[in-house]
Amino acid sequence: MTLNEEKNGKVFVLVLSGKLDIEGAKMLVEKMTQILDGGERHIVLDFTDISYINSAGLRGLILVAKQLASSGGKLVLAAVSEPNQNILEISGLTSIFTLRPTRAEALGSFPQ
Amino acid sequence: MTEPTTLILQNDVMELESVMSFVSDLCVRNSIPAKIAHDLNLALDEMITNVATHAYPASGEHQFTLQITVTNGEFVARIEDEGVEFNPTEHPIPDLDAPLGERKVGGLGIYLVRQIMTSVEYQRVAGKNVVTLRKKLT
Repeated sequence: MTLNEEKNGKVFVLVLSGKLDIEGAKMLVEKMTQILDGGERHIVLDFTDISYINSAGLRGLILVAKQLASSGGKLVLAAVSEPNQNILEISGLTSIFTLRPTRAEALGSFPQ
Repeated sequence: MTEPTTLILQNDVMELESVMSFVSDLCVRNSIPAKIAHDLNLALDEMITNVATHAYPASGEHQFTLQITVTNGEFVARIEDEGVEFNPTEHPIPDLDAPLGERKVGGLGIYLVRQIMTSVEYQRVAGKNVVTLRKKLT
């Protein structure tokens, strides 16, 4: 997996590409720790180019959600593909995460 | 219909890439829809990762087998290992309704396999774990 970061106003966008597996989850949790330590609280994870999520990836996502909750931040997942969204639903995670179909809609869910 | 193919694997998660590549090719050859191919790859990823990381707590190289058959509109994967006894059909179901603060971060892998496959069967035979995963293709 690769990570690219962008800033859009007050929202920090992390663009993920590849597979969110055990290595990807490790990268994501480490990056999120840095981002939160840097004071960011409004985060979008852009899943447009994530082809695959397994249970290790889900573990990483739950850890990230816990990190955000304990630091008072808000996280939105953007453009999660249908097979991956199905895996999130089976795992009971669509009630924990806010999902939006596009990055633009994810950005729109934060106050301007 | 394809003849059964048996892959001999090492207890190393590095094996996943070749297995997933094999399964993806098999799905293309058998015109298996992308959504089902995705679920087959995920189920095998979870099961093989589980064997590679938990079946042999003592260090050292061990081999286990994955036999795959596509027949009569069904995908069948049979995984045999000689590791510690593990029955995935009795693995505890995670609490999916727990609020975030109480939600456990792990324990989803086997649960996902049981949800996305049509059936998961387990036998302990002559010191081996024999897990059979089935998925209807129609």
